[in-house]
Amino acid sequence: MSIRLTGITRSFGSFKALDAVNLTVEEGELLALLGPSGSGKTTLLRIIAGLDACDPDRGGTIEVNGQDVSAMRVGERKVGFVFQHYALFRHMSVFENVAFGLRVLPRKDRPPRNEIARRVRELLRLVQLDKLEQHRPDQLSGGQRQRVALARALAIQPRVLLLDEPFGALDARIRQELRRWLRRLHDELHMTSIFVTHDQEEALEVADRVVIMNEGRIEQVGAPADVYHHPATPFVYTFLGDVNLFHERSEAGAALVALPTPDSRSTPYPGAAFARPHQVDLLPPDQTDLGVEGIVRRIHAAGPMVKVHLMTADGGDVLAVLTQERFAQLGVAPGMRLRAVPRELRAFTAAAG
Amino acid sequence: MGLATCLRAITEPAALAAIRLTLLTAGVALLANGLFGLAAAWAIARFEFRGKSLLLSLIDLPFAVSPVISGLVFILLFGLHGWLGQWLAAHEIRIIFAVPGILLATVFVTFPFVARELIPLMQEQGSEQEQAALVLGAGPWQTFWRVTLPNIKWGLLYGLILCNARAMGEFGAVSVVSGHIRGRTNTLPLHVEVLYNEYNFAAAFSVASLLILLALVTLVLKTALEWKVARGIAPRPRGGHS
Repeated sequence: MSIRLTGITRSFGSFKALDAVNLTVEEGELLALLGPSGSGKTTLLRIIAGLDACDPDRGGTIEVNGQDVSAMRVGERKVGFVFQHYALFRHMSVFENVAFGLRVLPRKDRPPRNEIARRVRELLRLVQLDKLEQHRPDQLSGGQRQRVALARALAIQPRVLLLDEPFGALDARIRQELRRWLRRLHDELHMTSIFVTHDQEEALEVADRVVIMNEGRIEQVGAPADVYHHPATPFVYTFLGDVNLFHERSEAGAALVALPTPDSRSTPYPGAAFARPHQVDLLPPDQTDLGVEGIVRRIHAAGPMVKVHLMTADGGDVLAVLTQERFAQLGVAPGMRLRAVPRELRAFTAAAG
Repeated sequence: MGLATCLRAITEPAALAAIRLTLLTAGVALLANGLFGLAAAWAIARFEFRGKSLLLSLIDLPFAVSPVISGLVFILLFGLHGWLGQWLAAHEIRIIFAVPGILLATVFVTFPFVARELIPLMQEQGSEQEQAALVLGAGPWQTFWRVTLPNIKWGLLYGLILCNARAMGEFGAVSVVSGHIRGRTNTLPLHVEVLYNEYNFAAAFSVASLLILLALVTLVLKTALEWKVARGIAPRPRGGHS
């Protein structure tokens, strides 16, 4: 089902958690709401679910498949919601947790007992927990609880699936696994899904499209590669990965790509240009006058690439990522003087008017 | 002291009346404070509203004042020379020196047990499970019976056990409003006092042994509940007030 949000504003006292947000979610896509904490992403998700409402005097609307659901109660919207801390019913077995949404249906819609059991077991097989149906939530690992929460949300055959920080409370290895598993599951079910995350890697790896939010507004919407390579605002640029700031154009010596941004709010660094660490070359000072000179402070050589931190004369920090070959060829060592030369730079200028 | 004397002391009409009144009082206190405690804890743990800290202070009031003072306040309100005394007398409603006064005093004194037990428990658990139930299509009552209540049942039971023990054993407040009318407004503790003051020691101790039995039952129930909780079957109740 497609979802269309128009003019969603939500204030908590004088704080605007959401400021006139418009967003369209296409049928069957997996969308990530990405942003730092306090950017309004969870509030937006809760408003779609009906757990929170937008400011009534600001006239925002939520449409699911063209139908306005703003006035619908949370239980009528048929959304699957996976809570950040799972919110499993801890006095119920895994089986009863998943069956809950079916058991509370009005009698005329409620499937018979054996049909409920059949559907619950099918879902538990889908999330690979069919052997644990009699366990209690507190006997499960974090990843297993997460999957129970997902099965429980899917049991009511929701029109959309909403996940709040689905991997937030898990350790790194399980996160990785569960991420890929969620992507595969989505490819099987093709259910319109939205998940909230503050981890840009997670959003870029899993989602079909990424919505980057900041201070209650949407900064950019696009496919992962699109937002990564063509960030619309400095915020998006800095949020999606490590970044180096070059203050004077003369330092550059590289083709400067000036990108217009829609409003001046998004240009907190006037006259500055950005380059990603992998877009920065390191050269001995006697080979070039370009870029900025700095002293090597730290080296992280564990991994396929080597990260080198330089400290410039004015106390700035430049991060460059080199191949192991280039690293060895230069013979980089702490204390060495090198020049950081960006191959590519991006600047953001305020749009005219 | 023979067993026969003991049995006679317990089964004579005044003693039986005291037992009945005590059971009635405890039953009313359990019902009233069970419902009130649940409602108050739910309101306090789930919502922000003006006067919340005032409500919390009111809940604590019975712990803060001596039960005798509570009883005197009831006399001040409902006694013949009290604020509402004339009106009540005109309508032939008897509260003081009658059963309603005893019930009121007992409910007031046992007011905090359930609420104080549940508030921290519900605050700690938060409302996420209830929200999950709502999203899954459950109505408010289904959510209460299937999610809220099972999550707090052990805490509720713990509060009710303490409430019951206090309701049956309350002396001070009840003593002030009761009037000690034998066979009509004496609860068990008051009956014991009356017998004792009449130098009828054998009977006094016989009836007192009933109260001791109650204390033992309370302790066993409380210990069983704590043991169950320690084994991880039930969520941990808060430290009780006494």
